[in-house]
Amino acid sequence: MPYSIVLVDDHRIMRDGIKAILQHGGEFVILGEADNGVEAVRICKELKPDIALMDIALPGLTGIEATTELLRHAPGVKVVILSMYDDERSVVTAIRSGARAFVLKKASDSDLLDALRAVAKGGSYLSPQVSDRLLKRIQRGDLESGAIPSALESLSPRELQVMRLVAEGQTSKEIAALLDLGLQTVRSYRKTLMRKLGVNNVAGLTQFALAAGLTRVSQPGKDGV
Amino acid sequence: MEGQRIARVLHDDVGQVISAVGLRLELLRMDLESQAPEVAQRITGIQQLLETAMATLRQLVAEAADLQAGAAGQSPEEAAH
Repeated sequence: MPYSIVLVDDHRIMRDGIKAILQHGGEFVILGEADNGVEAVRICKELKPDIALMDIALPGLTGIEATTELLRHAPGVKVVILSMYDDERSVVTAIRSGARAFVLKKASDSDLLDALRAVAKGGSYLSPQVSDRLLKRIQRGDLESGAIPSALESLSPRELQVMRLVAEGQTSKEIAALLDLGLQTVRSYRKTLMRKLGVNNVAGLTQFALAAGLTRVSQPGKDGV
Repeated sequence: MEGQRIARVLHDDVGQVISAVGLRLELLRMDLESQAPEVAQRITGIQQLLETAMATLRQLVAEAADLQAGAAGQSPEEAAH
């Protein structure tokens, strides 16, 4: 029986290419598709596929945030992260979020199919380029331990998620809708993370988020709570 | 900002298209493997060229993102997208 997959990528050209490859072999069947993180979580909750094949860079919730979120609701789903890049921060945060594999987007299907087969059987997988780089770092003894500023280590994954969205200009109401939480819950997260970081306003929070590399851009125009 | 825009275009458009073209070539290669193995071999060669182009692109985008992210310490993925 083929393994079921939900395919998540905001580039249709990639989804079509991957779909064609997977359908060719018969080992995997595509249950559903999504082009953003929120939709990915919704579809995975509903369809409970064996595997979610998730692009890392998605609009709204990132692939990593969507992974954390969907595993909260559907812990049996195995997540394979697809990425254009092999930088250490992306790899480490993906694995920390619960992903079972990290695969570089390439011009062939070799890595992708190996990763899906490994994960389907309960294993894990890193693209060779990624594992080579990590091995070298481990051998040199300088793997990432200091990459996350210490103040941020006290924040939960959910608080980090809320901080990123606040820094990107989302209001509490918008964040509540995006994360499927109550408005008061989001406000409570904001208060808690501000207290933990010792900041009093959105500007301070945004500075932390930028410095930690949690967000790409700040949009200070919207400051609503 | 110009560097960031170029990195984003490279990431969002060019990289994805190269990867998607490679996947389509993979399908062709699978179809031709038994009937025309020499052609399948040539397709593999083209995929390797695309892979080289992707590696160059990856490096270029990482450098542009590093310049842009600067002290903020963003990952290339975050800065480019």
